[in-house]
Amino acid sequence: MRVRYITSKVTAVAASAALVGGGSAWIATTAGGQEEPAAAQQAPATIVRRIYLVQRVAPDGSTYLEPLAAPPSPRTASRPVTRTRAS
Amino acid sequence: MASTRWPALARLALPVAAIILAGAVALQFSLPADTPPATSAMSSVHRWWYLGRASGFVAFGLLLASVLLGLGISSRVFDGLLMRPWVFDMHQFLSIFVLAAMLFHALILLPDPYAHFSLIELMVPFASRYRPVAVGLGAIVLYGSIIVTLSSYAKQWIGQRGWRLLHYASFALFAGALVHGVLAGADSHQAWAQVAYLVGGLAVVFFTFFRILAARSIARPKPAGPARAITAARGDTASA
Repeated sequence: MRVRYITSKVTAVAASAALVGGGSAWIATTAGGQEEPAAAQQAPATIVRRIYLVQRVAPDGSTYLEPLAAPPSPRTASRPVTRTRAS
Repeated sequence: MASTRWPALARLALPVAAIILAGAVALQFSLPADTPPATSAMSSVHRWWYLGRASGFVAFGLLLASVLLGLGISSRVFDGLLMRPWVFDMHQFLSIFVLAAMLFHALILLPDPYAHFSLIELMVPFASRYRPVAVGLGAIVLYGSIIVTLSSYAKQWIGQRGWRLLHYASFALFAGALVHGVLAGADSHQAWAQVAYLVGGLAVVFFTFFRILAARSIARPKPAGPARAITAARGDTASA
């Protein structure tokens, strides 16, 4: 069997390959490359390391998070106690 | 025009081999040497996801081209611009090549470590846990495209009418591919992707209406009377 218009066909294949390669690199770098595969959101996460943060109030009144060197003890990690006036 | 005698199998094997080569080239493209491996997005594990997204658009473009060339054959819209045998041959070639592109688009997602697609999820309609309807629609489009393409080679068994009826399914398959892209694609909210879908969809609608109008004008009887008389007179003159 004779393959006709071989140049057109090879061009179509080469253009497709270039578009797949170039397009994927372009997507990765510019157009939405930061997007994770949506299915990843459903994948179970693995806990690599726990960090503990404490919220502090700066002298100017703004708040910031500060990492704790060690996990908080059960006492410090307990809920803040709301002191009520004894009736 | 270069013409070579090839075995019959080579005609089908050419696009398959080409898409494998395309995958290798794509991977090579995807890993630019001058980017730091830790920070480059394409050197990350997401490269399969990016290749899947890009190959989806390429498959959509190839399907669009195949459908438009097919409409061009029946409506003769490209007769003044392109050689008719070229349009016919490229329509046949693209209808096979797009199958390879669709398969590449689906299977390149298999190694993606985040999406964790299994072969069954990708190939069995509605078996995917990720957007099951949209992904399932893509699988149906793949199988439908295989049937429509194979029908051209089975014309002697299914007949002209059966072949034509199956070919009408191409419109539904194109619409299915469009919906699959919009609903399953991670780029659907991007302006360039929306333009691609809109232009592709409108092009098929436009050429379909052109095809319908062209068929009506061909079916309409030619005006009788003076025109026939002139033709007859010319015939007489020529034969005289």
